[in-house]
Amino acid sequence: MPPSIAAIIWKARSFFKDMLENILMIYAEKGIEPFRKPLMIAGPTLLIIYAVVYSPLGNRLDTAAKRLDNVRIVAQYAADYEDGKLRLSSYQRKLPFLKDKDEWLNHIITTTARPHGITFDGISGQKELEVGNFLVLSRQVDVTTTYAKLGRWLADMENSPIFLRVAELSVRRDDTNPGIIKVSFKLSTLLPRFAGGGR
Amino acid sequence: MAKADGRNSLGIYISPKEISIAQVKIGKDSRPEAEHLIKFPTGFSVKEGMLRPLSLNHEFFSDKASWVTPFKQAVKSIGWDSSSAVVTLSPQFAILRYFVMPLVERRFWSKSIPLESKKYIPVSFEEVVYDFNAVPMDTSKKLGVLFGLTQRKSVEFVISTLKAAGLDLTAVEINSASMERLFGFTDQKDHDSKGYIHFSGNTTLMLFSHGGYPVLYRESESDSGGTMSERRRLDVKGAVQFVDRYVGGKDYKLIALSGDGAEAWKPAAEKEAAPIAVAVWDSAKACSMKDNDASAMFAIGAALRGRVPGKLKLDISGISTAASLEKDVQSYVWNITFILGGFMLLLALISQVRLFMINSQLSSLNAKVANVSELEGSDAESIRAKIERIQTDVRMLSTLIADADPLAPKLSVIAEQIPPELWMTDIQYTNPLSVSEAQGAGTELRLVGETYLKGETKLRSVEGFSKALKLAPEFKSFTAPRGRIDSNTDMESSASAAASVYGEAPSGPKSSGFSVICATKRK
Repeated sequence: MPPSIAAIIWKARSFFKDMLENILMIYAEKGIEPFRKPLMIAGPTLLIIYAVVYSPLGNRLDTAAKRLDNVRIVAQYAADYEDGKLRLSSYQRKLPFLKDKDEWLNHIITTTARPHGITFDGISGQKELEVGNFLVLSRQVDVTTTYAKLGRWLADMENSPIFLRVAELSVRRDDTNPGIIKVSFKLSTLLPRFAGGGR
Repeated sequence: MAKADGRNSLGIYISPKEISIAQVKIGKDSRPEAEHLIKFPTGFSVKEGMLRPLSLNHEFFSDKASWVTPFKQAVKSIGWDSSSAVVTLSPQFAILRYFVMPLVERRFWSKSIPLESKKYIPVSFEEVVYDFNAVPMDTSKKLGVLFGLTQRKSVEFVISTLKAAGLDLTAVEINSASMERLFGFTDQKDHDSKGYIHFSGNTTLMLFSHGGYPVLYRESESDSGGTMSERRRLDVKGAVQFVDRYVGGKDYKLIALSGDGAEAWKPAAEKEAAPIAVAVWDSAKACSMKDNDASAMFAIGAALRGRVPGKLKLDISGISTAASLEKDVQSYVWNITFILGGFMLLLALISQVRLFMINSQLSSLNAKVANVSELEGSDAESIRAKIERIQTDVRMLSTLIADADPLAPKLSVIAEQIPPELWMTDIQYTNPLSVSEAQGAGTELRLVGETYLKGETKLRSVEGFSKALKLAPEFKSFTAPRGRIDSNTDMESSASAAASVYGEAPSGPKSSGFSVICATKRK
């Protein structure tokens, strides 16, 4: 250690040692009384420095440090997350909107059937099944038609830009009407349960 | 060397015989100059013979004392430039002792030093006020103590008398301390290695100090009735030995004689002090005094208190000690406050710098995370879980949407490829939405039909139909490796009623069944 610094340290040690000894001596002799008045000024001064300068800045630093740590973590995964979200949203554009969940399936069935002159023997109520982040919607449709009309109708529905699928199909020859078939099928689609994708 | 406090005070020397008041300024050549110096007799009659210490105080410091009125008049007679005064008492009114005791910690001084002083000061401590200065000795584990005391009532009387004269008492000390201060200031060169003998009229004053503290002070009056040999004896050796006994290893280099007839005393002093050198010193000139009067010297020494460097702070009144204590306490508390406050401010400054750096890092990182604000506040684990969920959803949607396998084209292929001798009676198709792995199931298309063909012909026809399906791109998902298309011709006709509908008689050819099963394995 350089001699000049050693001398400063020695002086500082002596200063503090003397100060401590004197404080102990005064306290032993006079008690707290001599300290009361200066402490009444010094205490609040320190409290003010602590409360106005030190503590708020410390809290701000803690908050900022925590935020930095968090942002670093977020930044580390941001690219993967954004990529995933982008891909997910590109697929989600092919799904019905959540707000349309009650009408969309019925709408596609009825609007595509009308041009082909297909009348329904029955359309069931919509069944909804929650699976993961998605809601699977299904309707059972019963019609009596020809094979050709059925094919064209199904093609129209399956050509929809919005995803849907014929999950089940049963075609039976109508024994009483040649060329006529009795069809029962289940049409399903799915949509995200939460706006914006996964939780 | 301790610094001077810088406060101007009058110096007042009080002895049974006379009182001196001095107002002193420090000249350009750093010599004390008495601006005003007055002296008057007290008119107090001192009884002859040996006196007990402090035995005169009660009588001298009383309202009936003859010196009080002249004192007030003397104070009023001059326009003093200070209203504060330092009183220095003669040895008849106060006791000052230097002694050495075992070293004790500073915090125990207030208890242990007065106890120790009782060994050296033979008076009751009940009615006295005292003060001490103590310094650990460098050479041994001992404590050098200068202890002074006087009667409490004497100090109270001095305070009230000064107050009545318009003066505030700053401190009360003892004349040897005032003399040491004056000589230490006016004769700074090798002061600590000199013993001083001052002659004032027929009074001889001996001052032998150590480290700025008067260790030996002796006042003796030369009796005009005594023999010459008695008058010529100073007892220098005894004084030096006394100091050496207390201090240990004190080495005086010079005995300085000053005052009235100092030259005449020199041969006798040299003889006594040998081998220590003896020199005559003009104290009056050094102190800017017109004569060698000791009382004036004490008053000037007292007036210099707090204005010249020196560690002699003894104040038996306790007034300056209390003020000094208050100042010390304030200083310590403020020191600690400054240290703690400074430390907090330093930490705050460091925090501010760190905050600035963190904010700049945040600014650059914020640009990267601007589009993923929903992740803010999430930890790494939950972010990873979110990404995992998204990727799972993406994989699932990708399978469902990208690998869409529509049914309508398959129905079309069936209609196109079925041979005329075969017809369909039943089609069953299942292709459930496999949103999760647990739900995942394969696709199955079961075609059931009939024909009038028999045997090998039927087999070839059904197989041909099956093969045509396998070759159709729409049925690719049902081919290897993920799928299969199987046919079965060993089936009975499903309904004889069908024949009547199509016009065949019951006795006509009978149809037989077949099936083609297209299936994919579970994904």
